Amino acid sequence: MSKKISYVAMVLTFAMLLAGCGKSVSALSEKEQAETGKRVIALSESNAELWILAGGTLVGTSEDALDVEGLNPDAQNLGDMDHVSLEAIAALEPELLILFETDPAQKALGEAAQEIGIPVVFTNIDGYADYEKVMKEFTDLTGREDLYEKNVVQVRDRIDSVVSKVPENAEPKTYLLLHVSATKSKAEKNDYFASEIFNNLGLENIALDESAFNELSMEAIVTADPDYIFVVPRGDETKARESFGEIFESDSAWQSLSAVKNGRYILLDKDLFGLKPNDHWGEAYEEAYKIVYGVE
Amino acid sequence: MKKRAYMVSCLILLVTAAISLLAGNGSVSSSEVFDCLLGGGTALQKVIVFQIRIPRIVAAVASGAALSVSGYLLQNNLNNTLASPGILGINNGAGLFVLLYACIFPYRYGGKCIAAFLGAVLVTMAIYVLASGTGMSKTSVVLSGVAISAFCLSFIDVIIALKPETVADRAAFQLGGFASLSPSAVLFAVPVIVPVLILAWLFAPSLDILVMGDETAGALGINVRRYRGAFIFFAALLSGAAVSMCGIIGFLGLIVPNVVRMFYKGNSRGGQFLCMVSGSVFLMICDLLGRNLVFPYEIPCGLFLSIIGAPFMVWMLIKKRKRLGA
Repeated sequence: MSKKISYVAMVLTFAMLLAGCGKSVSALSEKEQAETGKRVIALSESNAELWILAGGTLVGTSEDALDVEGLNPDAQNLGDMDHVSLEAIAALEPELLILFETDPAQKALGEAAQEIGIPVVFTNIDGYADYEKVMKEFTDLTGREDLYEKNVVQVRDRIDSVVSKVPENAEPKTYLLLHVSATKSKAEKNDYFASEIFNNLGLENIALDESAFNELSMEAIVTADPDYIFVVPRGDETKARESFGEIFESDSAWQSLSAVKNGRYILLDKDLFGLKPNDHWGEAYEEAYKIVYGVE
Repeated sequence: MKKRAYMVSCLILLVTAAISLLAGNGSVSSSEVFDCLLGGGTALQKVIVFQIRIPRIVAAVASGAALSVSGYLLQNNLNNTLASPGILGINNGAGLFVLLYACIFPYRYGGKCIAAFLGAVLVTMAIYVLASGTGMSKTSVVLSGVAISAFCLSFIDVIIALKPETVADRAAFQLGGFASLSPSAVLFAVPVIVPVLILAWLFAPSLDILVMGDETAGALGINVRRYRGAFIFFAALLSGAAVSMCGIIGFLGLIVPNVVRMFYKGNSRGGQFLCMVSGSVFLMICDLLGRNLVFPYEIPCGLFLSIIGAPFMVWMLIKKRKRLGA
C-alpha cells in the first residue's frame, strides 16, 4: 500500500513540476519583472527581434539572430537555436531567457534553465494578436511605451486600413498555401500566421484545421481546385521559384488546377510570409492585398 | 505451388486493386470511376482516376512486391528470418542520398527517386565490400549491414542538424507513403522492379540450394560467394527502386516473407510469388486506409507498418527464442 502511495505521490509531483514549467511574461514574479531588462538572452531570430523592437538589449542570442537590425554588437553568439548549451547560458548570468514554446528543444532547455533559477519566458506567436500581446508584455518590462505605439499601434492601423479596403460582396476565393523545404512540401492550415493574413483579406484556405494530420491529399487539392497557390520557401527563393514553376507546368495533376492554368501560383516573400513579420506585419498585409486584388 | 493457388493469389490482388480504385472519399464515386474507365467522365474525374489513383495503385503494387521479395531474398540468402532491407541499412542508405541530393539540388523533387536508388545500391556495395573482407559469411553480411546502417543514420542526423531547411518535418521524411507520388518516379522505378523480379524468380532454384547451408551448396557446385552477392544485389535493386517511389517503408520486407513462410513450406519460386502478391495486397490496403481514413488528409503507409511491424518483430524474436529453447 505504502508503495502505491509513493508511486502516486511521485506521479503527482512530476505532473506538478511539468505544470509549473513555461511562464508567460505576466506570470513572472514582481521581483523577476523588476530585475529583467538588463541581462536578457533571446534564442531565435524572431524572439531577438521582438525584444529589440521592445527597446531591449541582449547579452546573448542564437546564430540565426546575428543579422537582426538593431542588435547590440556585444551580444554573444550562442550557436544554433536548438543546440545551445545551458552552461553557456548560465555563464552569461541572464535575468531573463526568451524561448519558443512550440520548439521541443527550446522547451526542454527552458525547463532545465528554470531548475537552476533562470527566469524563462516562452513565446508562441500564431497570429497578429499574439504579437501584440507579447509586445505589450515586453514593452512593459522595458518601460518603452513609445515603442509599443510605434511597433504595435501604428502597425495595427496599417493592417486595419488594408482590411477595410477588402470588397464586402466579393465572391470568396480559395487558396492553398504550400510551405516548401528542399525535400518536401506541406500545406499550411489556418493556424499558420500567413493564412490568417489571407483569411482576413477574404480568402478561404482549402486546408482544414480540424485534422491532426498534415499531409493534404492530392485528390483533395484537385477536387477543391484553389484559385490561388501560394508557395513559401524555407531556403533559396530563386531555386524554389524555378523548381516550382517546372513542377506546376510539367505535372499533369497540378496542371489541371485553375490556379496553375491562370498563372496564379505565387512565390511569397520569405521575410514577410515565411518568418513572423513582427513590425512588418502591416507590410505583409499590403503585399498580400496587392497579390489578391492587384492594386496597392 | 499448385496452379489453383497462383490463380487465387492473382484474384485477391485484382480484387484489392479494384477496391483501391473504386473506394472514393466523396471526390469521385465508384460509378464515376467506371465512367472514366469507359472513356466518359469530367476532366476533374479523369485527372483523379488516371493521374492520381491509378499511378498510386501501380506504385503500391510495385513497391509492395519489390520490398517483400527483397526481404525474402535476404532472409533465405542469409538464413536469418530477421533480415530485411531496413535492418541491413539499405533503406537508410536511400534516405541519406535523398538528403544529400536535396542539399545540392534543393526543391528538385523529380531527381529524388534516382538519388534514393543510387543510395540503396551504393550502400549494398559497401556492405558487400565490407562483408567480403571478412569472408562473406552470413553473420559478417548482417553485421556489416548494421554497421553501415548506423553510419547512414548518424550522417542523416548531421545533415539535418547542419541544414534543417532540407527537411520540413523529420517524422514525415522517415515515414514513407504515396501522398506526394510523382508519375516520373513510377516511370523510373517500375522498369527496374519488373525485370529484377523476373531475374530473381529465374534464379530461385539456386536460392533453394543456398538455404541448405554454405558447405552443402558448395558441394552441389554452387559458387556461394557469387550467388550470395547476386541475391543481395537483386534485393538492393528492388528495395532501392521501391524507396525511390514511396520513401522509407520499414517492416514490409520483414513481415510479409515471415507470414508467407508460416503458410507455405515449398520452394523459393512459390515463396517469391506469394511474397510478391501478399506484399502488393498489404501495401495497397495500407494505402487505401491511409488516404481514406482522415480525408482530405493522409496517414502515411509507413505509419501503419511501423505500428504493426515493431510488435511483429518482438513476436518473431520470442518465437525464435522458444524454438531455440525447445
